[in-house]
Amino acid sequence: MEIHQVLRPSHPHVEVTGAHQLSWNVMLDAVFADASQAGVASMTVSLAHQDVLTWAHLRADVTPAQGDRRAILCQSFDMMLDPTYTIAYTVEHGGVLGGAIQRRNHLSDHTWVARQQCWVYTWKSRLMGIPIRLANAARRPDLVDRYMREMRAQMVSRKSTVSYYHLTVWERGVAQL
Amino acid sequence: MMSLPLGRVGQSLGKLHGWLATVKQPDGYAGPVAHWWRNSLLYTGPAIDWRYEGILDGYGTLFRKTGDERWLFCVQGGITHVLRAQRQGGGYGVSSFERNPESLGTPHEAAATLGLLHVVDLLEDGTEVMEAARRNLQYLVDALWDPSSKGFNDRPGVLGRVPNKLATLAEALMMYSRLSRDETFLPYALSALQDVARYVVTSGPITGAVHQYAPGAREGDGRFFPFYAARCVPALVQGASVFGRQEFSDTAVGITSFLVRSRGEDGSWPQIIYSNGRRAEDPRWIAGAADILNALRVARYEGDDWTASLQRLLDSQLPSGGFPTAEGFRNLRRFPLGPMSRRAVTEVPDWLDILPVVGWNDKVFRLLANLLPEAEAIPEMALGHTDIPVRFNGLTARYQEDAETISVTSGARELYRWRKGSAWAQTGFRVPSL
Repeated sequence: MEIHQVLRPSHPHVEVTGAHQLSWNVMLDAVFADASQAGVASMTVSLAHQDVLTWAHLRADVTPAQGDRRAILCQSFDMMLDPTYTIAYTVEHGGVLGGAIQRRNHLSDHTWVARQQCWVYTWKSRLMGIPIRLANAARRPDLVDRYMREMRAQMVSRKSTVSYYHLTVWERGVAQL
Repeated sequence: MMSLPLGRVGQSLGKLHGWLATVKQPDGYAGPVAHWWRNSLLYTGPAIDWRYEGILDGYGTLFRKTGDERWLFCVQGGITHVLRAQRQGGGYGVSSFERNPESLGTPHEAAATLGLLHVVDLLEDGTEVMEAARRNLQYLVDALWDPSSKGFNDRPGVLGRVPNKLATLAEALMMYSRLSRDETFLPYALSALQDVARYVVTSGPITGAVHQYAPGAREGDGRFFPFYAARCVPALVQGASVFGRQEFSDTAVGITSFLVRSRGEDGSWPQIIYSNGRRAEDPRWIAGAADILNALRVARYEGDDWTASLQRLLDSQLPSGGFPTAEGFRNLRRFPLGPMSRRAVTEVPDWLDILPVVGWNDKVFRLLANLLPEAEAIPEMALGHTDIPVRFNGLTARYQEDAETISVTSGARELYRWRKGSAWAQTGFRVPSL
């Protein structure tokens, strides 16, 4: 799959390690698996961190172009205004409210329809950080493993919940095509 | 005296070879990955990781034993996958097994190179393969060697030691040195083996167990996986010979003794034994247990009878030819009500238990190729259709597999589908369990 990369370092800087690294890998896998089935030939990737761009590039390398659609993966809704994109993947973060305000400001013309979404690094998953630290302090590797596993099990939700990241797949409305 | 059920090995290999052919894409062996650490279930394209250790070694062993050209053809195909994937810097690109698609996989890149080195003698001209192996090993040394602590880290710049990975890297470094007669890498191999030996428990009830990880390259983390302990044995056996050090041989014997003592009556091994005596029983590897049996084979451990373990392995083969991953993934989902307690394995399995993974099946393939009696033929086997009731994230479902597809359905709902030629599985945006 052809990929065009844009680094947008203006977003709040987050170290992409540990749970954040896992979150981004989960989201990129979901994006490229979806794009591969949706007939995407080229994707513009506009993200805030060079490491994440590199991981996206690796996935594009191993994803054959299946159709002729152009897609965008971005963290800002203003990138979706380009009419040549017919599919968009957005990653919002910074809390539920912040995302809702951005959406209202940028998607009020109803040209895009949300097809799929998931919430990544949920509050339940983040909460597991506490027992993991306690178990580490108590030198109980068995408990660390149990809570780490639970942290991973609660990482992604398909139902709306408080989470660090929110991934949405948007299709341009049929009337606009 | 052991009475291993070797009469079935040829047929089993025939079916497994047939299954491997179904998961081979133009650029390499492919498919989803289930593992204890995490799963890679969406990305299903090729990867150059430890799957090539067992595949290349296994096909090479079959060719040496039988002289049948079809196995040499498979060796050449596997070599081509690895060489084509190699990048300018020497790495293999997608190489991280359960973390795929990710690069710089440990011990995976070293294991794939080890696979190359196992079969280079079968080629009329092995120059290109030896150069690819050298470039990959140099890439790993450059990325992971830490001059200040004089050892290999698991991640660039993150101080820490993982003994089983050090063992695989040491094995590849020693084998390259022997084949090339170039001793440049030998000091690195010796250092890696010394670090492996450093993290083996030398007294108490778990003598011979190996710490999984040593953060900061200091004391071990108190987690002991029999599977990973087994992965240390072949390197220590080789190291005893290369460096003339009896202590490596003694350490290998100690580890195999631990493996024998930690085995259950049904021939399986627990996933983890902790330093406080607690155990995580599940998942118990099925296909992966082949590497534990391989360690017992390589160490020529006297007085042990692993008939039950081999029988358990052979009995598990699926009609579609692959070997399932494990027993007990389902028990991991019971948190917090008791994930550490075992439920009867007769219950409906989790779909991850059944899922055959090429990077586990390569271990079965290598073991069986080595166990194959000299005169035994490997028949062409027709593959069947696997259809098994499973659990999928709490749902009752069916796992089905044939030569073209793996699918999991619940009633009319399709939960997971991998068309074996494709690089991504279809899940209807249902992100599978990590």
